Amino acid sequence: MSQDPDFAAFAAERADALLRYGYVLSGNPHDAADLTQEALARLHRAWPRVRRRDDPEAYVRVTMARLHISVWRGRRREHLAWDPPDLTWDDDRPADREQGLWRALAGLPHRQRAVLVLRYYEDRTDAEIAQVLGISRGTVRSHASHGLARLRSVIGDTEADRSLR
Amino acid sequence: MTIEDDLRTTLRRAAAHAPLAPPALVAGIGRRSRRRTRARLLASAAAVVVVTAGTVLAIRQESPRPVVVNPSLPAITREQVVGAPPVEEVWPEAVRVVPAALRDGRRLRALALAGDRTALLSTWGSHENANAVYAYDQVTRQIRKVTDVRTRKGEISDGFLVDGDRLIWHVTTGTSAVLWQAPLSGGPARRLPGGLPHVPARMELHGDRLVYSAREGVFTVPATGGRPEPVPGGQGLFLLEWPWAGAFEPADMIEIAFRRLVNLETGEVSEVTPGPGEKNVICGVTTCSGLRADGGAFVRGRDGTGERALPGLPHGLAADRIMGLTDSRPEESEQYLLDVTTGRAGSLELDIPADDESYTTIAVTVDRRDMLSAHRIGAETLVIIDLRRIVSGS
Repeated sequence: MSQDPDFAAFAAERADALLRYGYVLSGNPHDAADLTQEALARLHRAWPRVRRRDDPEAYVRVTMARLHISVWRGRRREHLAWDPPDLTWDDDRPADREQGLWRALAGLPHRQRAVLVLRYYEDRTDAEIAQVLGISRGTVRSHASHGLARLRSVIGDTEADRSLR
Repeated sequence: MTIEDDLRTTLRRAAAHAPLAPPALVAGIGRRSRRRTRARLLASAAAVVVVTAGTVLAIRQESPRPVVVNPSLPAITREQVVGAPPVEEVWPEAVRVVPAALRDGRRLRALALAGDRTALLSTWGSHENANAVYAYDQVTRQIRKVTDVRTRKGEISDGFLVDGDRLIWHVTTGTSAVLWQAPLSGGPARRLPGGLPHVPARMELHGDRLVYSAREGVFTVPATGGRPEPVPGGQGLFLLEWPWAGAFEPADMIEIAFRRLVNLETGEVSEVTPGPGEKNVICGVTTCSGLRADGGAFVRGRDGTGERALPGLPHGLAADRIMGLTDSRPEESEQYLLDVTTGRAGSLELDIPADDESYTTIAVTVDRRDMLSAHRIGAETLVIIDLRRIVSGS
C-alpha cells in the first residue's frame, strides 16, 4: 500500500528534527531511531484525524515523550552506560561540565529525564509537561527537582547555584 | 550559569550530535503489515506447577567459536527480515519459550540457561532486583524454586551465572558487592568469603575464576570467593568477552563501541577506524556494524573485509552476529532478530499494539554474549535466545 503523500512529506521533512528530539530524550541513537519510527508509525495510523484537527508535529512529539517514559528494554542498569571517563565530543572542545551533565543524564530514571528534556530542551511550561506526560503538575515539579538534585550531586554545584540558595 | 542553563546548553549540543535520519528511518512506516497467518503460541503460564523435588542439572560448557564474515555474502534485504517466522522456528535448538509468570501471578524474568532443558528465572522483590530463583524444565514444563535471594534495602542482586552445579550471583550496595551461591538442585543461598570493593557490571566465568568489569577496570576473583585482583592492563577497560576488553569511546555515542580492544592475556591491541562519514560504528570481537555515510546499515569484519549491507536501522551486535530490527507499523510493530552471518531472521512475536502506550523490546547490545530474552506480553511468555547455541550451530 502506498503512503499518504502528505504523511510521507511530513515524515521526510521532520525526520531529522524528530531524531534529534529522540536523542536528547533517550541519550542514544538506537533508542532515538526506535522512538522516532514508532511514533511516526502511530502518527500514520492517526494521520487523517491529526492532519484535520491537530498539529502532527505536536502529536508525534507527545507520542515520543510518552513512549520514552514507558518503554521497557531488556537492558540492565549499568550496561555500558555508566560514566565513561574520557568521552569527548569531536567539535569545538565543549566544557567538561557539559560532558559530565550528558553522562549524568544517562543515570536518571526515564521520567525525570523526560521532564528535564521537556523543560529545558523543548522549553515547555510545567502545565504543558503535565499534559504531555499525563501526570500531575506536582509530579512534574517533583521529577524536575529530584532530577536536578541528582545532576547536581553528580557534577557539583556551580557558583550561581550556590548563590541562589 | 546555573545548572538549568548548563542543561539547556548540554541538550542543544547533544541534539547537534544526533545522527541524521537515514532514508531507512521512514521507509517502511506507511506500509501495512503483511497479514500474518501463523498460529500464535498458546499461553503456557497456566500449565506451570511449582514442584519441590530437584534434580542436579547437566551444565553445558562451550567456548565461543570465532565468527567469520564471509567476504562474498550478499546484502540482506528488508524482505528477508520483515515477516520472518517466529524465532523458535528459525533457531529451534537455541530458543526456549517459557512462562512469564508463576501461577500466583508473580512475574518471572529470565536470568540464565543451565543445560539443554533448564531456564533459570527470577521473581522481583523490587525493580530489577531478584528475590527468588526458579528453574523451569522445558521437557516436563514444571517449575521449581532453586533458592531465595536476600537483599537489604538499597542492595541489588545481579550477575547470575551458572558454574557446574551451582548458581553464583552478586549483591551490590552503591560501592561494593558480595558474592553468593546456591546449589542448582535447590537449597539455601550461601555467602562466599571475601567481598568486592567495586560494583561489578559484566561478569563471566573463566576456568575457576570469575572475571568482571567495574568502573575501575577488569578484575578477577576465585569463583569460590576470596580477594579480587586487578587484571594487568585492564585498568579503565570494560570486559567485552574474555580476554577482550575495550575502552570508553567514541565521540558520537554514550555506549562503548569496542573499536579499540585489548587482549588481556597477550596485550594485543585491535583498533578499528570507521570510514569517512560513517556513524554509530560498534564492534565486537570479530565484527563491526554501523551506518555508512549515505545512511545505509552495514556489517563487516573488524579487519574491514566481508562488508554486507543490512536493511533499515538494525541495533547492536550481540555475540558478534545477532542484530535487532524494529519494524514499526501503524497497526502493530514487531522486533526481529537477524543473524548477519547466515542472513537468517526470526520474529520475536512481541506483537506491539499501536494503541498501547508502553512496549517492550530487546536491547541487542554487543556485550550480550550468552542470551537474550523478551516478554511476549500478549502470550504471557518469555522468549529466551541462547546465543552460544546459535554461534556454535553454524
